[in-house]
Amino acid sequence: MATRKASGQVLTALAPVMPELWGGSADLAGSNNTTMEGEPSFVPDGKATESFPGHRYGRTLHFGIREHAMGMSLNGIALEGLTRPYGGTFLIFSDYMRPAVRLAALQQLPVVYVWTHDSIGLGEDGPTHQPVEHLAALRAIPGLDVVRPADANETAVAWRTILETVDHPSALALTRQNVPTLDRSVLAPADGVARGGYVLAEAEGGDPQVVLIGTGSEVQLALGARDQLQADGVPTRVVSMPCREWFDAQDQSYRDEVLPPAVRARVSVEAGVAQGWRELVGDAGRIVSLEHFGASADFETLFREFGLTADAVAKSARESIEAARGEAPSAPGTSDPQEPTDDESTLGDAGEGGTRSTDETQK
Amino acid sequence: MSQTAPTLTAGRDESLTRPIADEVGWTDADVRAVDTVRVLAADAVQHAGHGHPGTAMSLAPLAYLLYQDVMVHDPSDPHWLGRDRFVLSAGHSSLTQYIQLYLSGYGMELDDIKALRTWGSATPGHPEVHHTTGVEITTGPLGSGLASAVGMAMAQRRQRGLLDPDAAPGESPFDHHVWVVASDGDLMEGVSSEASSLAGHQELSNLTVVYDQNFISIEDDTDISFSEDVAKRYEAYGWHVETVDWRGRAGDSGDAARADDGTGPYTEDVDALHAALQASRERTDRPTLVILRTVIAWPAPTARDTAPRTGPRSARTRSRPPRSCWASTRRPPSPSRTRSSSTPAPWSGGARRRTPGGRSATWRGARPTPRAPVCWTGCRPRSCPRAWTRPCPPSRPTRRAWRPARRPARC
Repeated sequence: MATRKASGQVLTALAPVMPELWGGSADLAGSNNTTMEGEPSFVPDGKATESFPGHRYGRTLHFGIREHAMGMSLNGIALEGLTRPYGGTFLIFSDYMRPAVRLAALQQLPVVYVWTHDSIGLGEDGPTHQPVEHLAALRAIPGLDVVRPADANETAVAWRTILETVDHPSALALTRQNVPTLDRSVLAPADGVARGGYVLAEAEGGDPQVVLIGTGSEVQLALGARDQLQADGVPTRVVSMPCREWFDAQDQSYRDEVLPPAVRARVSVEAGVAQGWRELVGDAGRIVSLEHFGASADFETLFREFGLTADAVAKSARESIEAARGEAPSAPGTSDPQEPTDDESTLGDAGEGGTRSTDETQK
Repeated sequence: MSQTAPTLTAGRDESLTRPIADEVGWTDADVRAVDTVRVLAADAVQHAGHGHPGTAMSLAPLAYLLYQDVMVHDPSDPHWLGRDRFVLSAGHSSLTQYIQLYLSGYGMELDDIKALRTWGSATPGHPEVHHTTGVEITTGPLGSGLASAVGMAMAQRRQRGLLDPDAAPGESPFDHHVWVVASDGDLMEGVSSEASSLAGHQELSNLTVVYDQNFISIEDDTDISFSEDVAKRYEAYGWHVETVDWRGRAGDSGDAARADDGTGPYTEDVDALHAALQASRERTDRPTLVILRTVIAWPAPTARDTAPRTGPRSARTRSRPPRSCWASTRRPPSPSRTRSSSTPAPWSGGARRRTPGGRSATWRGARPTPRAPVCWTGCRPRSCPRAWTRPCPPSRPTRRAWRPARRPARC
């Protein structure tokens, strides 16, 4: 189940128990799953539509294609103080909202952003719609929690934790594509989300030799890499890290428990730029990231072509283990994978005839 | 007009047109207070050596009118739920608000204004919510205040629908109004267009924006970059638009105003402004844009109608109003002395809530306060363990005061 869909189900479940919660989307209600099922729209009498019945006191907000105004309006709603607003759009369009998000953080307003289509995983719409630098850029805003749950259960705990946050804004980064609902009978319960990061799968056969840290849709890649490494006899721990800010807020002992200082072999995997991950993976660590724009294709192809795979994570893990022993370079200057793995490049090389260009005159 | 204290304006420069404020009932004390606001704004910036005095000077009558005669608010209870919201979208003119907070009894003191834009002061460069009592929202990035005010107006309607849907129009504490003061820059920024379009569609009649059209921005005359017909734009958004023109012969550009001798024709018709504002409160079908045509920094002889382009030192000398236009002393009259004794002095911080048209509704106790969950404060899931599993229905009508303060859950 896509985490955006899980989020929609959480909202519908919350509708009767939290009347103060309301929100909507910038014309993407169906895509963002921001509509509480059956709730009337907030529109003047006479302006409801067939798709969206409602009235002046309705609950579902329709901002239209006005992301910036949505962000500012959410601030105004929160400043009024009696209700709890949320607003959704594609994560890429957080750029359109950024000044408002910053002001929400500055004003300590408990606004919730429901940002879906949170990576190249959105697929066919291509690089204009695929966030790459956004998670890092949003994490750079002081006082904003960026939460990227890995599956439906993490999404539910994320919503609960966010709603318990009353003095600053929070952002959900949710997938368009389906992600596996992790088997919690084998893995740790999703309650760990509230602490920002938690041990999802413990190393078997001894103390962990390497820790794999994943967020959102890439947690499954870390789990896949763990299978490979464990099969090779490498005790491997997987940490799900849906919210860096919440993890940072834990005390040192908990953080050391999740990321033991003695284990210097660490790999992070996230379908976005590496910026910010070095501080968690350390000198010997490796960062599986995306340092360029995406492309238009189905998401499986994109993850494969751009090297965001369980294989890549396992390979990085082995390198990191070597680095921790001093047998491989520390803190490599670039991330792995460094570049697209074939002629496919979207690094902005149009001036050189761009390898993706179909314009023969530029070749 | 009553002349209860004629000495209060005895020293006023006769060449400066006296504000027309008969219908709203301003006395010499009010005129003196408004003039004092201008001096305070100029002095504060001169003292700090930096800042924006111009709009605070020319909008002194507007700000004073809002805080003294238009807005429903209670300086002794700044978080009172039924208060009107004031949004200074033109946040760079923070003195516009700070000085009114001083005059109306929000706890702002003269020393705070002297400490403008300094470390630890209650008067930062731009207004900051949670920092200065009486400031509802952090503003400064142009357009953001106006756009957020649209959200406030939407929230007001939703809250009324949730908590007090059966009250007659104007009779609910949730019927508060949102007042915005916006500048040319606010109207240029794209976000205000988005938000105003949304506000028009939503028919947010509880929203009034006063657009201070002075044709000046940082690059001086706005003719260089801004020439659309704002009134028609807002009419197209579905707003009610009306214009109150104080500029007289100053015309439609900074150059024209600067060439004018600047004294005779500039007339602050406060009555016309007041009528426009009151009508906007009564309107029920659309938001209102009042285009208030002013000359920035009026009546400072050399600073008016100019942009702050030559640095703080020069600005300090240029923004100083002519000494002769005020009463002989530079010391501003204290608020408690400026208002005539026959008029209630809301700025003294009394508990009386100012309501428009003298409608002194004492909502607390006068009628059952709205039904609302006692624990409903936006933090319920944390404070109420059962919130996740059990609906929290509105409580029975009660005569207990309905206050928004966070309190422990009791559901």
